[in-house]
Amino acid sequence: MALEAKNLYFKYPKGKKAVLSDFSASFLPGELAALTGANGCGKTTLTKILLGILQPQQGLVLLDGRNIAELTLAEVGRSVGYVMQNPAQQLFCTSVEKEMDYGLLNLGLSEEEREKRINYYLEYFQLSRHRKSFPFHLSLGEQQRLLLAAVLAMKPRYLILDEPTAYLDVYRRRLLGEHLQKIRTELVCGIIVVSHDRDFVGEYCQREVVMPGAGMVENHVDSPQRRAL
Amino acid sequence: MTLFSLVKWDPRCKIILMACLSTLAMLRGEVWFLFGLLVFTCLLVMLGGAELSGALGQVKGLLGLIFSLFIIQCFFTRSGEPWLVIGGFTLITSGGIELACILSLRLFILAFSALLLLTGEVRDYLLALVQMKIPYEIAFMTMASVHFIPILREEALNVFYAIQLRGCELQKASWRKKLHTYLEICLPILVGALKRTRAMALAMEARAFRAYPKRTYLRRLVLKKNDKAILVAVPVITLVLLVY
Amino acid sequence: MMGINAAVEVRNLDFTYEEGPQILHRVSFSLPQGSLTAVIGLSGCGKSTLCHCLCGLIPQALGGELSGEILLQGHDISGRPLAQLAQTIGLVMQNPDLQLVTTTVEDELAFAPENLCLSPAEIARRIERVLAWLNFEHLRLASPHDLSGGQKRLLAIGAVLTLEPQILVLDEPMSHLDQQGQKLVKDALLALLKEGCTIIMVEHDWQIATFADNWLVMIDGRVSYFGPPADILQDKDFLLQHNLL
Repeated sequence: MALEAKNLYFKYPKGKKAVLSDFSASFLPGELAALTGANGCGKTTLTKILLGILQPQQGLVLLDGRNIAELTLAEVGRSVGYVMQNPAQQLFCTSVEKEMDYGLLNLGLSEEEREKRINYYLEYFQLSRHRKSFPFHLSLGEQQRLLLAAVLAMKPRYLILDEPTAYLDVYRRRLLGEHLQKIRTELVCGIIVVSHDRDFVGEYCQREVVMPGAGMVENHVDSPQRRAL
Repeated sequence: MTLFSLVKWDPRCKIILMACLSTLAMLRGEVWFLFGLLVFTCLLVMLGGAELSGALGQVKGLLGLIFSLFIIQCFFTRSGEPWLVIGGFTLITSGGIELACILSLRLFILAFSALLLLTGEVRDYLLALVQMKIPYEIAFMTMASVHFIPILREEALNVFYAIQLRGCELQKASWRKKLHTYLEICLPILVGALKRTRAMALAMEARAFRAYPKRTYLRRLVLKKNDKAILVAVPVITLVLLVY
Repeated sequence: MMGINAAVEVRNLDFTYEEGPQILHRVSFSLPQGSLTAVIGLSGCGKSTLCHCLCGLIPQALGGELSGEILLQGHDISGRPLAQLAQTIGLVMQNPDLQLVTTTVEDELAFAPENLCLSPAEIARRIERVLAWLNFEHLRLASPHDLSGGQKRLLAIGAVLTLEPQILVLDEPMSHLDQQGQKLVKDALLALLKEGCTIIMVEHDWQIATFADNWLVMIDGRVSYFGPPADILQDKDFLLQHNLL
C-alpha cells in the first residue's frame, strides 16, 4: 500500500530540459510528507503526474499497486484528494453547500452522512456563515479553505495539497496542520504537502522530499495531458 | 527544405500578404485560379520554414468541416448538368460540384495563409498593428484574445480535472451524463471568465493603462529592404490579378 | 497627529460592502515618507480592503460605501481616475494570474512605463533593473503563462516595480515564494526604500514582516496597534489572544 512514483521521466513538448529525470519516490499511508524545492523546479508537474493528469514519457505511478494510467480520473479521485494552487479553477458549483456536497454525492453516501460531514467541515474551517454564498464571491483565503473542506470531507486515502497554506493566515494554518495530523493518524491517510512554508513543513511534516532544481518549468498548454472527457 | 525564412520577415509583410491572399481567394471564383493560389500558399508556407508539425494538426481539424460543407454544397446547389440521377431525382449537378470545390479551396487558402502568421511572435504583431496606426486598445484586445484562448482552455480543463477528481465519472459516462455535467458547470466557468476579465482590466488600470491619450513603446519595428519590396509588390500583384 | 511629510494619511475610514457587514471601522493612521509598514492581521480582518481603498479601487471600481479621507503625498484621492492615481501609488494584488496581461516577461515589465509615456531608454533602464532584482534575466522572452506559480508572483511584483511609484502597496507578496524568492523581493523593497519610496505590505505571517519599520495590526476592521514591531512582539499575550502568533 503506497503511492509510488517509479523512475519518472517527464519533459514538456516545447521544453528544453526534462523536468523530471529518473525520479522515484514513494508516499505511505499514515505519513505526512512535504514536497519542497525552488520555485519552478517542477513540484506542481509532479503532483499532476501522481494524479494521472499528466502522463510521463517514461516510468509509472502506482496507486496501491495499480498503474494509475489504467484508472480513470474519477477512480483516482476516490482514493486521492487533490487541491491545486489556484482555488478559483477548482470551484464549479453555485453555492458553498453544493460545492461540499458534490464529491460526497459521487461517493454515494447517505443524506444523513453527507449532512454530517458538510456541517462538520464547514464549521471546522469557519465557513458556516457562507453556506449559501456563491463560491466565486469568497475571498481567495476562503476559497482555499472551502476546497480543503470539500476534499477532506471525501476522506481520501491519500491527499495531495499544492501550496495549501499560501492564502491562509497563521491561525488557520495551525488549524489545517492540526487537522492533517489528526486524519493522518485516525484515518491512516497519506498526505503530500507541496510547500515553501518552512514553519509549516518543520512543524507538521515527518519527511521532506526535496526536488532537484531543474530551472524553468515550461508549463505549456499543449502538453500531453489526459483527454478531458 | 527551406528557401527563405518567414520568421525574419517583418510582421507587417505577413499581415499584408495574408490579407491579399484572402482577398484574392474571396473575390476570384475560378477553380483553376483558386487551385493555383492554394498551391502557391502551400509552397510559401513550406519553403518559408514555417513549423508545420503543429500547424498541420490544426488544419487537419478543419478537414472534417470542409468535407461536410463540400457534401452540403453538392446536394443543395441545382445548376449545370445533372451528374448523378437516382430514380428520376437529380442528386448531384456539375454546378454543385464546382461551387463545392470553390468553397473548399477558399477555406483551405484561408487556413494555410493563416499559418504564415504562426511564424512570428504575438508581441511583434501587436507592435506591427500599432505601427500601422491601429489604436493601441484595439490592437491590444485583438492580441489578448488570441493569446488568452489557450489559457482559458487550460483553465476550463482544470475545472474538468477537478470535477473528475471529486468522483464524477466522465470518461466512461454516457453522452447524456456528459452533456448534463457540461451544462451544470457552464455558469461557474462563465462567471469565472467574467470575473477574470474584470480583474485584468483593473490590474491594467492600476498599472496606468490609458493614463495618457498616447503611450510610448520599448521597441520599434524597422522595415528592411526586402520587407519594403514585399510591401509594395504584394498589393500590386494582387491588384493586377483582381483586374485581369 | 498630522505629520507634515506624511506620504499616506488616512482619517476616519469607514467601509461597508453593499448589503454586507462593515469591514473597516474608523481606521486612521499616518505613514512617514520612505518607511515600510506591514499590515498584520487574520484573513477577513480588512487588510485587502484597506489596500483597495488606498489605491482608489474602492469605491471607484469595486463599489461599497466609503467615508473618511485618504491623502497621498498630501493630496486627497477621492474622484481621481485610477490610471492617474497609479502614478502615485502602485498596487500588487494577490492573485498573479489575474495581473499578467502580456505575452512575454519583457513586455509585462514594459507595460506600465510605456503607459507613462517614458522614453524607450528609460523604459529599458527600468526593465533591466527589475530583471536583475528578480534574477529573471534568462526569462526575458518567456511567456508569463509558462512560468511556475512562484515565478508568476515575482513577475507580478516586478511589473508594478517598473512603475516606480512614490507609494507601493503589496498584498501578501511573499506567499507562493520560496526562501530565495522572498529574499529577492525583500532586497528589492529595501532598495526602493533607500530611494524614498513608501511601502505598505500586507502580510498574515508576522515572521516575514519583522524587517518592517512599523506594524499596523488590524483586528476585525479596526487598527489595534501601530508602531515598531519590537514593541508589540514583547506583548506576546495580546498577539496570542488574537491568534496572530
